[in-house]
Amino acid sequence: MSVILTFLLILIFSILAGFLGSLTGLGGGTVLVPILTLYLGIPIIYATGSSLISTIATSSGSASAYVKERITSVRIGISLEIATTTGSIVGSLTVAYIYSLHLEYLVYIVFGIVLLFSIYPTLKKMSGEFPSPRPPDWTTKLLNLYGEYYDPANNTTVKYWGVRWWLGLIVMFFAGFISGLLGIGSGALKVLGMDYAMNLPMKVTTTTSNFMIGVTAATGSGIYWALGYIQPFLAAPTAIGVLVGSLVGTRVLVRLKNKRIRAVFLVILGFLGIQMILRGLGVF
Amino acid sequence: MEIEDVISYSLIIGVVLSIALVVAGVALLFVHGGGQGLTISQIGSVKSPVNTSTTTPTKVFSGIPKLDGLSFIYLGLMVLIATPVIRVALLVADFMKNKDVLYTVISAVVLINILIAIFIVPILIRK
Repeated sequence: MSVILTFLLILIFSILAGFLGSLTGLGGGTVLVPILTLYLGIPIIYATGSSLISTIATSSGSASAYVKERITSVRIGISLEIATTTGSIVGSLTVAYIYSLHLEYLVYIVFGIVLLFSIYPTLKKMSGEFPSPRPPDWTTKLLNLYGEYYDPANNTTVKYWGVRWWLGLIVMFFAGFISGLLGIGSGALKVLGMDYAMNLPMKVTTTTSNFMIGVTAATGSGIYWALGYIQPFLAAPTAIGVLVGSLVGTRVLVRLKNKRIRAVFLVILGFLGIQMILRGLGVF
Repeated sequence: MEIEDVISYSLIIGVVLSIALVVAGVALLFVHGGGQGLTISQIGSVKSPVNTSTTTPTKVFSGIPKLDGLSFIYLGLMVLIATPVIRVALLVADFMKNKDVLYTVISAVVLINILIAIFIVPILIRK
């Protein structure tokens, strides 16, 4: 295969991954790694390295807009990043150890499992429920986890507060760990931590998760860089492609009201998840 | 300008700059048929041994004035990784300015974590 063709193929698959990732709310990397490894024969080390890099691009790109609109809670974000960055360091070192033992198949299996588990919160998110209010606790007051944002759909300012910061912190450690281990943003876990543990409204959760992903991924990519998991020729088209794909996806998402169409994308995720597990078991 | 706006601009500038460098790098790589003394077929295969562990910051920066494609891609990736780090550093400065002790400490811990991952851990691993 010629070099130009390889480049274009990776670019096209990355655009597709970015598009699917933004429609499902999981981010580009979650879809990108299976596509690169299963269909383009790229070693999983390089696939996860490129994915982590592309995650920074999409996070920074979209976080810029959300922060400007004051939907993202900068304070909640940074307070949880203590855990995501720590988790990411532990995760990156763990995967380095796994690779040094040549246990790549483990990464495939864990990736597949994470992919399958991501479907549930994504489905749940589509139902768009509001959390039932909980009284502020000591962490709410100590860390000043109060905030508000303007909701143009209802023309109101929504006031909110976070609770159980410590529980959010525990979930975020695992989100960071998975991010370092698999080279993804692990947005689904971050959303879970803020939505379920801290009882924050969905709009704040998703945008703050997005804001945090860049910092988590930058932490992991420092270690990935030193270990040589980032291949420039693969990272270049994936960073460009996933960014473009997710920008298109975000535009389409606004118009895409039909939940059944989004459910189809979740079926694709399930399919990729099962394939990753089968690859790890040496079946596919 | 409020901190939210500063962060928002720094993020978008970082992404645009890094993508511009990466795109320029890819173009130069194809025009020159390689980079950093390697041919494009050595760099471009999916299982290529060329990666971030086979380059150094010195090589990258010395390649820039020579319009070396691979160096441009690496620099673009460095800028991309630096973007969120700068974002955290801006927050540390803002919390300090507002004399918010708790959040200055929190954001400083995050910054230290990232800097450990980028500068300290690699030294420990390579030993």
